[in-house]
Amino acid sequence: MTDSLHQSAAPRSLHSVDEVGAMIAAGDALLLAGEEHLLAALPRGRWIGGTIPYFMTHEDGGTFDRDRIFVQRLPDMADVHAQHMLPTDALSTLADDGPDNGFTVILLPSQSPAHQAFALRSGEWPGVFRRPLVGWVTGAALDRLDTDSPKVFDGATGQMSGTDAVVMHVALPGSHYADVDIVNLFEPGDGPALTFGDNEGGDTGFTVEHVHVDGVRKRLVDHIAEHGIDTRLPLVADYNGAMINVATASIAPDTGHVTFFAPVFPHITYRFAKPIGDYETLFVQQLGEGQDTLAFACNCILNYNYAGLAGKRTGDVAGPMSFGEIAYMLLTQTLVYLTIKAV
Amino acid sequence: MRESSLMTTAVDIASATDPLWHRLLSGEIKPSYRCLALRILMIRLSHAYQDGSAEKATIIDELRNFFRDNARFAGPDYDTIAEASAR
Repeated sequence: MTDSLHQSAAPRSLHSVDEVGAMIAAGDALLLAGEEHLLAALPRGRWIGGTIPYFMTHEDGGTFDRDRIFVQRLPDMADVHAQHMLPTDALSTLADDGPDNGFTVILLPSQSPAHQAFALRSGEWPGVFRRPLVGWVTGAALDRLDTDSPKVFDGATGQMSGTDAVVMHVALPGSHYADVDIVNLFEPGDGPALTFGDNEGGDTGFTVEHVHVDGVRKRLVDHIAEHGIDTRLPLVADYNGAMINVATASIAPDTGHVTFFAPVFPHITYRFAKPIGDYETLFVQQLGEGQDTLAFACNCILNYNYAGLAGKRTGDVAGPMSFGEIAYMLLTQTLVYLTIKAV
Repeated sequence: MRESSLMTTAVDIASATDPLWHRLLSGEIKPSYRCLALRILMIRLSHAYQDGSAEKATIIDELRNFFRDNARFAGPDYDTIAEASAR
């Protein structure tokens, strides 16, 4: 990006339940992130939220906090056009009740039917590209995944869900428009081209066994072992100049299955990424300097963990460190941001 | 015939029968895109156009609708495509 970002009126990212309640009572339109018991304690109003206790904050940089709520306050010029829960079987209509000019925010509980459906099929839904679409996949503390499950909240109704998506459509005046971009520090490495999929439609999606390595079919787990690949480095695909990551979640040596945090698709060429240097410096370099108003951002829990971002910063950009990032499609190990620009 | 976008008067979108769309979706011209949405969308549309997995007219309509709906940020990319097609 060439312009710099400026997150409006946000000297502090983390707030108590009472402080956020006061913002809601004042009519602020909010995108919230925090632990379930905190979000569940909030009054109804113009907000949506999702569970996660990891954040990139303005005040302290990378932070783990189970007692406060992360707040992204929409700029004054923005208006909530509509907000609601959306069940999986209606996700393909997610753009239908949005404004002509504005953007849409979607939150998906990790591992939910809505998460799976969006990840696998959203690219086929024409409405996804009707207006800028951003969001993130909600999660839980990594040491509490056995007891805490990811949730989303619709503040308008007070409804909570671990299965459905929550959507907020935001309208902008004709004087402004929204734009989405990403910062991905990873680039494809020099290794062989990897493609997925067989004639029966298998070996794609979140879990695969086989891969074509420069056209030769073999088990992915064997390819990883033979080449000593560091699976903290994602697979990277070049989407017409946009580098799209697929991060590895787990490898099952007994079955040879490799599971990812986002699907791999047929007809896409992937390569394992090159190692990268200092995340904090690289984020600052790629975010640059400018005057656009940043209305939304999120980054990946894997970047937080692998790069040791606790106490470090990603330029002036703050947001939840999520279990998956959304910029029209599901991304991983990527910073997503939405800016509002004057016409 | 060209139509003006709802979002801006700065971009006129070529008609569905304009050869620009075939040249773009077939890969005959390969301009660089700046906006993320178009970079992602064109992966599916160009593949579907080239392998015949969807009606070409439907694909062209979807792409024209994209530029109509997002002209404010995709307008410069449309101009680049039009210039590449005109060469």
